[in-house]
Amino acid sequence: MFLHLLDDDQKRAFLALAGNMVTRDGRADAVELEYLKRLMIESGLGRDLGAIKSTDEVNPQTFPVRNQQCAVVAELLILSILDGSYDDGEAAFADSIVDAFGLSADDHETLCRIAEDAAGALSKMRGLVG
Amino acid sequence: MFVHSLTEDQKTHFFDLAQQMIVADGMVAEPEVAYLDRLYWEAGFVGRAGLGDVDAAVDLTIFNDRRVRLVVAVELIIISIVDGIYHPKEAEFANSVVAQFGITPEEHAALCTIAENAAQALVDMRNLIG
Repeated sequence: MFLHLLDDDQKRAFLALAGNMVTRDGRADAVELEYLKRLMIESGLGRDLGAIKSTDEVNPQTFPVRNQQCAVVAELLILSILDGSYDDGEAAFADSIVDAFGLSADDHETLCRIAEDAAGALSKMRGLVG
Repeated sequence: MFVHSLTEDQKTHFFDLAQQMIVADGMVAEPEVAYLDRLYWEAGFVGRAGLGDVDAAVDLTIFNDRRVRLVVAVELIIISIVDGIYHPKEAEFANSVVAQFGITPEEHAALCTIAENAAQALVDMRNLIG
């Protein structure tokens, strides 16, 4: 939803973090993979999920602007809750990125709310169209 | 949020409808244009977004299955409420498309809920990053 705030290098770096988030709870859920594919389409960097290099190492300097940091965290949170659960490993990963970016607790709370609304819309639409 | 699932021809017709929705209330709000820009990104139409005739009737028969009609309807409703105002003219336009698509009142209500969730996420993000 928010990848338009990133440049191509940042999109690649984000997708590597997203790839890690998807497998964070030990399984790659179908709805998470579907959203990851949607993110790839939105990024304009292709449609091959195999091209994503997963990493849990975030370099804050890759995302120097707060807007970009918020976009990254919001998308990772959406990805993490789309399957209806927020695993401890997923939460720890998200927390580590929020900390690395130096985002405030208020920002984090708002981003969680944004992710819940966005994931709710995606989930309800999936339920409606089948 | 959902236009990636449309065919190229359907995307073109959808953007004609979207432009009509944006001008339906007689004013073009910045959040509506920002969301439309985002949809161009998602659709892969950046750099080749055309300006349609906002007075010309759009051929809705190209939206030829229920899933596609639901996608088009929900995106139009998101556009109409993303500026925080659901103008009667916008509602009239949305209701007209919904009626022509044969969408049931229950589906319409579900689409409004989905659109409200999505629009809330967009508004909160806009408020967060300024």
